[in-house]
Amino acid sequence: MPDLDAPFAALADPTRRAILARLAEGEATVHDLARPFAISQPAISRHLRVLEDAGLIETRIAGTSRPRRLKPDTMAQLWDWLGQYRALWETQFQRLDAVLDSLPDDPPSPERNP
Amino acid sequence: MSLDQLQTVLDGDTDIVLRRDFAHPPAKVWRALTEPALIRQWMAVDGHPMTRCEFDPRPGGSFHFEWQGPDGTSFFFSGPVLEISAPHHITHVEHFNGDPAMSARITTDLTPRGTGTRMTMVMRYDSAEARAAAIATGMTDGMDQVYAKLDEMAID
Repeated sequence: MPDLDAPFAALADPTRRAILARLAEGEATVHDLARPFAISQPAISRHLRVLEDAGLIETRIAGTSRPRRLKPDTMAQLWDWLGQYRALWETQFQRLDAVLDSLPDDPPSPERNP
Repeated sequence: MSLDQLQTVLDGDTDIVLRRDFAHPPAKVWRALTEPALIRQWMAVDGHPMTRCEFDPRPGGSFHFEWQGPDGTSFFFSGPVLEISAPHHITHVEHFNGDPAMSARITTDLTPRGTGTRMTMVMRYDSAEARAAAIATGMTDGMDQVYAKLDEMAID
């Protein structure tokens, strides 16, 4: 099993989770990231450093620009580990079970003739 | 193997596969998946009432599911229905908040299993990066609840 302590520690901070949510929309520079958050660029840079050390994001070098982006491999490893997150979906399907239990046994046929 | 609990698998670079067994036959599961009045009953999220729930389950039809959070911000999933064959198969495209860059093609199959149903849902993203983005979005949105759960389980 990969060492996921660093990614989970990095994810424990709500600002860093918000940064990841922003990067999920596409790569962004420190400048791009500082704008929507009411914190300084140095503070953003520190959060990015934690995320990068945890393997959650990586830096691309594009001329003088250094956009950050998600690192898919670590996301996949986290997913594999994170049964607790999938439990949220399971909770929804348990509500679906309850809806099914409440329906009559012979529902009007939803079959459609082509 | 019975799948009373959800099984989720990352398949290849682009797919997320969900499998789940239900104790009722496909015709019933189909109703709960396609009739808005029933969809509302199980898709509501704690603290996020569903403000829009529309589904036109025909080829060329579309759906729009929207929720509002306690702070007033809303989020929605919407998209076209590509293929549909009651009560066994739907293929649709799902966009998050109307963003074409945040989309997946989702194939849902219901197969009879004993007196019940096995649902297999394949969520296919455009690339490994797009799938990572979808996981990150779900993770960051759900992490507060995850951390609360971890606290309950007393895991450090």
